[in-house]
Amino acid sequence: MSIQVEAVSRRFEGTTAVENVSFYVEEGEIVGLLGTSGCGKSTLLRAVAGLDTGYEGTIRLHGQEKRGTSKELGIIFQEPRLMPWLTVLDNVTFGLDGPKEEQKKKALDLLEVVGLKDFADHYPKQLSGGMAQRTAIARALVTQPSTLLLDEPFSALDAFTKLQLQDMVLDLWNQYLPTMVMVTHDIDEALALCDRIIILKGQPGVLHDNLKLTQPKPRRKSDPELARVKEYILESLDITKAEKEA
Amino acid sequence: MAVTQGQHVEKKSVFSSEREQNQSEARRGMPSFLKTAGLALIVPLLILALWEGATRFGLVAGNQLPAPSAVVGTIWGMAQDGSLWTHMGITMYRILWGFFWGTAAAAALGALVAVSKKAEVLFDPTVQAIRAIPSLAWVPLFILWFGIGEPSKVTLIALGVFFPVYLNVVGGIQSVDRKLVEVGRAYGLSQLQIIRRIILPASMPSFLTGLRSGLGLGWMFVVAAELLGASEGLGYLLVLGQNTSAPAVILASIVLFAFLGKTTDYVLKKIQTRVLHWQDNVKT
Repeated sequence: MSIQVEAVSRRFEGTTAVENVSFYVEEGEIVGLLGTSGCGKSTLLRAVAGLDTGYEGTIRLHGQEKRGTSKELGIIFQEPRLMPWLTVLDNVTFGLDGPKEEQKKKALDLLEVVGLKDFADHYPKQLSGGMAQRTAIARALVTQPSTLLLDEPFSALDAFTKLQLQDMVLDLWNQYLPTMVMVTHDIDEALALCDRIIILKGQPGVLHDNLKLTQPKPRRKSDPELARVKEYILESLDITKAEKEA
Repeated sequence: MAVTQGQHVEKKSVFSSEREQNQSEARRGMPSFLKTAGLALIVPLLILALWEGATRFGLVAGNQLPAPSAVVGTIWGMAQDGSLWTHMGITMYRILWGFFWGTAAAAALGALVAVSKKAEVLFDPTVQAIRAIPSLAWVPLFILWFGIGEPSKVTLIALGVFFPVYLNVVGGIQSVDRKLVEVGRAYGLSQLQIIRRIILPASMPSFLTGLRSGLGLGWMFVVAAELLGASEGLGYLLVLGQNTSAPAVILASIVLFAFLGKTTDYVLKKIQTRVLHWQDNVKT
């Protein structure tokens, strides 16, 4: 689905987290919300997800104004957030309605995709961090949402698992072509996955830049073009300068 | 690699007999849980033996401290004339009813207070104030109100059970991970569905902890209730033993209380492990 964020601000009891941010996400696009911590990336995503409705401004899904959660959105949080009392299979079917057999079949299909078919009967306590997050991805995908919202989904994982899951997400994107909005503070991750990178900056966070990347995916990490974009992002976030000063 | 492995196997077949013997002996010997149980029994058995010996050989007066065999004999005697079952039965009846009502009231009020801020402001201060009163102080009032029959005893036990269960229900529900609740909201679950599918299972560990400490207090209060006016029950045996200078009856009652208390707690513990098998800290 297309997502239109128009002049969204969010205030929490006097402090402003996000100020007047607007951007547009085309259908099937992967958009990254990039910025240093505290610039309101997650706040924006929560507003789009409908988990937070206290913002000012307008958010349109498919051109329709929307405030509140939607079945068409799948959300993947920073932590897996699995129900510890449910098996992997039951966690995946958590958001599904309909006949049990059908639910089970859909869930098993997705567990196969994320490589956890043999773990369907395991409990979350028996999973590694990467496996738990893959379960959460399967749970988000099983309702076949047209849009995935990801809130720093890989930031709690080790470097290898992170790369693996990024590849997996790209594969899934190639298969189902969902629209994706992804909060991240990892520039490499944004460069590897995103068609568009929204850079937020400051406190309160304001929109600093809106970059479009046209390189086809999957991208090579050593691509000199990407290295230049990275340099540009670092400079625009004043990170290189801050490092020099320190 | 293959060579060293080959050597190893050959060596094992010739030399490692001692170790293999040890291992197979260990395997043939007692399972480890029996060994632990055996070790745990040493001290109580020793105490019992010393106690029995001390009374047999007249080191302590038998009419003050009867031998363990005399206590067992008393229980056996009561089992044969049938009075044992009457006393145990009425005590179990009281505790189960008290436990049931105390738990039911605590779960209902606790759940209400935990989900509704208004209910919390309305009820919680009062409950906390009543909690500050030592529950046994209610006994005279309950006897005045309900007489010395069953209702006053069951009410007292229910009151004892109520507080730990209430506190754990409130604490359990209020400490449910907001992040899990948010997952429910993200899937568009209704408030009722969120309670049933997330809050209830997530607060189950705390609830069961409350049940177990509630039951423990229930046993304390059943003793108190029966001490203060009963014609049947294990607590009555305590009074009877005191009035008839029969320490064996008192000790028999104590042993039976311990047995029943442990058994009921064991049942709850089994339920707890079964219901909470998904928990990280419960061994499966």
